Amino acid sequence: MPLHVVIVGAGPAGMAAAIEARRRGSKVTLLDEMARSGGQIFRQSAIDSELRVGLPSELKRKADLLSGFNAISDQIDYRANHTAYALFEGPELHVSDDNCSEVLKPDVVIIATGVCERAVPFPGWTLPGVVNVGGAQTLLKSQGVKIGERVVIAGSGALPIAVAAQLSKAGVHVVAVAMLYPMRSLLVHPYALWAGRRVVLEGFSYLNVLRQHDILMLSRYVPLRADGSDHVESVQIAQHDGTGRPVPGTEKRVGCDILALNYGFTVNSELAAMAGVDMTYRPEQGGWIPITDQFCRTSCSGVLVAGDSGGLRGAWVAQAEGRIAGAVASRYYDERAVSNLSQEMSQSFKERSRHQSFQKAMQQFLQLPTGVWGWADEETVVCRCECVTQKQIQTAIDNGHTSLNAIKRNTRAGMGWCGGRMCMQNVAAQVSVGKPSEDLQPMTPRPVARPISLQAIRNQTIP
Amino acid sequence: MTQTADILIIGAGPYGLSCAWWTALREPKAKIVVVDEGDFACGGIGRNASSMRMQWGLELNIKLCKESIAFFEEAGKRLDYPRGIDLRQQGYLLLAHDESTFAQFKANHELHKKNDVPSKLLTPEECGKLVPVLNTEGLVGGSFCHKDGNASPFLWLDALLQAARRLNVEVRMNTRVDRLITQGDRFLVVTREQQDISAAKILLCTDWAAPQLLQTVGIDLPITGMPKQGLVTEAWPEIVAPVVISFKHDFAVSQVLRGNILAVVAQDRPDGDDTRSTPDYLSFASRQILDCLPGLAAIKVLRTWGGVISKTPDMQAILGETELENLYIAVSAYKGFMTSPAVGRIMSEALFDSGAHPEAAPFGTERFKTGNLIPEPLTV
Amino acid sequence: MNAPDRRIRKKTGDSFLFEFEGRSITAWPGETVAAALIASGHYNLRTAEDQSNRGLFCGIGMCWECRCVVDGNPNTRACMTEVKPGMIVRRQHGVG
Repeated sequence: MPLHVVIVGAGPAGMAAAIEARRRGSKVTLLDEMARSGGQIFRQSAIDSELRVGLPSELKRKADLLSGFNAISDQIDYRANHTAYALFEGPELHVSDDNCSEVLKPDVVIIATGVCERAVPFPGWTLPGVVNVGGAQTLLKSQGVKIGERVVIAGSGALPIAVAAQLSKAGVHVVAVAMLYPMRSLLVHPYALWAGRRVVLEGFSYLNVLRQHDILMLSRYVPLRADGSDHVESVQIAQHDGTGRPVPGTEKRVGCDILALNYGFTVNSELAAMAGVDMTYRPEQGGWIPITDQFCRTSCSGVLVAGDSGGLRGAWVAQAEGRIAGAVASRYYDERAVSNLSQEMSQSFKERSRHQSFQKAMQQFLQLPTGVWGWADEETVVCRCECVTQKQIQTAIDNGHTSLNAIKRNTRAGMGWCGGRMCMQNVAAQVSVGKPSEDLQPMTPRPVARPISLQAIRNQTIP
Repeated sequence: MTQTADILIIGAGPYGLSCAWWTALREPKAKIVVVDEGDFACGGIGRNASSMRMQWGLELNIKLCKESIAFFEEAGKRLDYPRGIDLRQQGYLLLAHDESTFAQFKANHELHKKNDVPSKLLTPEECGKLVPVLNTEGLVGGSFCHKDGNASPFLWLDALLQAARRLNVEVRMNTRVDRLITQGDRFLVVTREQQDISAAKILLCTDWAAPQLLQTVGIDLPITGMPKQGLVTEAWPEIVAPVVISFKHDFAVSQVLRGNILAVVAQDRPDGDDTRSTPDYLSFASRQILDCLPGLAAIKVLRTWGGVISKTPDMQAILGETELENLYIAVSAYKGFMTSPAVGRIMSEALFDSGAHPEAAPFGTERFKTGNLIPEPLTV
Repeated sequence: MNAPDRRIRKKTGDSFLFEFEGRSITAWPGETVAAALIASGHYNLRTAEDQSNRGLFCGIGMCWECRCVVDGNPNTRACMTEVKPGMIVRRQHGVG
C-alpha cells in the first residue's frame, strides 16, 4: 500500500519533497497558502509569466525545480490557496481555504512552511513605507510593481543585498544599503568560499550589480529612526560600535520613500509545536526550531520537517532536504528502508551537509548583537497588532512576568492577527537580555496557526 | 530557610489576590504572602469568557455578583489602577429555546425584582433587535439585564496584583506548594523550591487543584476539575453588544471592549486536568456558535485555549474554614472572575471572625455532610 | 500632478477601476489591492488603535499590518486580496 504523504508548503523543500515522494509511489497532497507554487524564494509572477527578476544562475535553479514539479503536478493532489491551521498527533492535519475546511489523516506530514522575515523595532518602524525587504521583493517578482522611487535598505545577512540588486535592476533608485556587518567579509570567509561556491558567486554578482549602479554601501550601520507624517520621508542611520549601539556623531539623514528592513527570520514552526514536537530556541536560526534527525524525523510520529522551517538553512539545503524528506516519508514505517536512504541518496545528503556548513558560517551574520535591543525607545511599538510598546513590556518584566505566556497575558503582546510571529522573538530578546535563553519557552502552541473564519471551520469535510 | 507569614494564600488567581488585597486592607500589620506554582494568569482566569452577571436564579449568587459588579464599576479607583479594567456593561442576554427554560427565566425574574436586579424578559423579536446577528428561529424568549457585561480578566488580575503589592503583600510566582504539615498551632508549608513557609493561617485558593493539598492534611472535599476550551476571534466593530448565553447551545459568547469575541462552548469531556486542545473542538464550537449567531460567520478565529474549571456537587463556591482549624478555602465553582471582589471581602472577614461568617456560612463545607446543597437552577 | 505608476512595464489585459478612499484607482487583472495602491503611490492603509498610520509591512500575508476595509469587510489584507473592478476599499480605523 503506498503511503499518503501530505506536504505543507510549496517552496523549494515542499516541491522537492513532492517530486521525490511521488517518484517513489506515494500518494501526495501538497498544500500552499499562495495562489502559485514556488514559496517565497521561487515566487512566480501572478500576472506576467515573462517577468524575470534575479540572476541567471538563480533563475535556472528556479526553472529546473519548477519544471520538475510541473512534470508531476497532475499526479498529485496540489491545493493552492490552502492553509494548514492545526496539526494534532496522528498525524491529523486541519486545512482550509476561504470557505471550507477539511481534516486530513495521512500516514505522514512533511512540514515545509519556511520562514518569515524579522525586523528589530526602532522609532518610526511602524510608519507606512517601512517594509520588510522580502515584501519589496515579492511586490516586484509577483506583481511587477516597484515598491517606491527612492529606497533605503537596512539589515543583516544576504537577503538585503540580493533585493537591493533586484530593485536596482528593475529601475528603482536604491539610495543606500546600510548593513549591520560588512558583506565582503562574509563572502570571503574561507569556509563559505569552499562550501557554498554557488551561493558565493551569486552574492558577488549581486554586489557587482550594486557597484554598477553606484549604490552607497554602508557597513556597520544601523537605523536610528524613520520619520514622516503619514508615510516615511527620511531615515536617520548611524555607525554602530560593533555591538549594535549607534556611535554618537556618526548620524546621517537620508531622504527616501521606502525603508526596507531585514534582520533575520522567524521560522514558521507553529504546526510542529502544536503537534507536540520537541523544540529548541535558536534565535540565529529563526526562533523555536523543531528538533530533527538526519532523516528529517521529529519526536512526533509521522511528522517530518524539511527546509527553513526546521531552522534557517537556505534554498539549496531546502531542496536537498526536501528530496530526503520525500523519500523518508515514502518509506516512513520501514526502518531499514529509511536507514538505507543515506546510502541510496548519498548525493542529496552530501549536498545538504555541504550547504549546511555554509549556512552555519552565515549564521554569525544573522546573530544580532545585544545593542540592537536598545534601538527602540519607550514609546516604540513592539507588538504591531496590539500596539504594545517597549515600555509596557519592560514594565511587565519589571513586575516579575518573565515567561512569554505571562508577558502575553499581561500586555496583550502576541495576541493579535500575526500570532506573535512579528514580535515574539523581539519580546524574547527583551526578556533574556543578559540571560541564557536556550530554555525560554514559547507561548503555548494552540490552534489556530493562522486566522481562519468561523464559517470555514464550520464547513468541514471529514473523510 | 523558613519564611514566616501570618497568612499564606496559595494561588494567585482572582480569588487569591482579591482575598490578599482585602485582607491587607483590613489587617495592615499582618504579614501576607501569596504563592502560585505558575506565572501571571496561568490558571482559570486566563481562560474564561470574561463575563459577569447578576441574573442568577439563586439569591446567594445574585448578592455575590451584585456586590462584585458594583466593585468592578469602581475598580480603577478602588485599586488605584488608572488604566481601568476595560469594563463593558452592555448587558447579558440569556436565551431560552424551550418552555421550561423560559419558565425558569420568569421565576428568576421575580427573584430579580425582589433583589433590585434590573432584568427584563424579552420576546424573540426583542432579542433579535438587541442582537441583529442572532438566529431567532425556535427561540422562546430571553432574559436581559443591562448592568451585566464583561471586563478584561487580565487587567483585573494585574490591578489586584499591583494593589496588593502596594499594601505590602508579598506575591511569589513560580513557587509550588507540595505539602502542608501541621506544627502545633501553625502550618509548615513545603515548597518544591525548598523555600518553606511557616504560616499561622492558610487560605487555599487553588480552585480545582485544591484536593491535591487538602489530602496532605487528610481532608476530603468533593472538588473536581473539568477541562474547558474556548476560542478568541479577531477584533471586530461591535456586532454582539450583550454577552449572549444559549442554554440550548451550551455557550457564552462575549465581545470585549477591544472588539475580540470570546466564546466558551461546552463540550462533553471527562473530569480531570487535561488542558490539551481536542482536534474536534473548533468544528464543534463553530457549529454551535453559527447555529445561534449566524452573522458571525466571516469573523476569523485567532486562537484557542484550554483550561480547567472547578466543579462542586451543587456547582457553587466553597468558602470558609475547613475542618482543620486555621485552614481556609475559597473555591469558585466556575465563577471565579465575576465573584472575586465580593469573595475577597467575605474571606478577609471570615479569616478573623470567631465563629461562622454569616455570608460565607451557606457556602461552607458542612453542606456536603448535611446535604443542604444550594444548586443554581440554570447554568451553562 | 499625475498619479505615479510604479509598474515596471506595461501590463497585458484591460485595466479597470476600483475605489480607494473615494478616489478612482487603475488596476490590472491579477493585481493585489496592495500592489495596485502602491503602484499609484498610496501607502497609508490603516490607522491603528494608538492612532499611528500603518501600511504594507511583510508583503506576504503574515503580519496583517495592511488590513483595510474591502467592500465593507474589515481586517482584509491588501497584500492577499486580488483587486476587482468596482471594489470599494477604504482605510481601516481601529477595528473597522
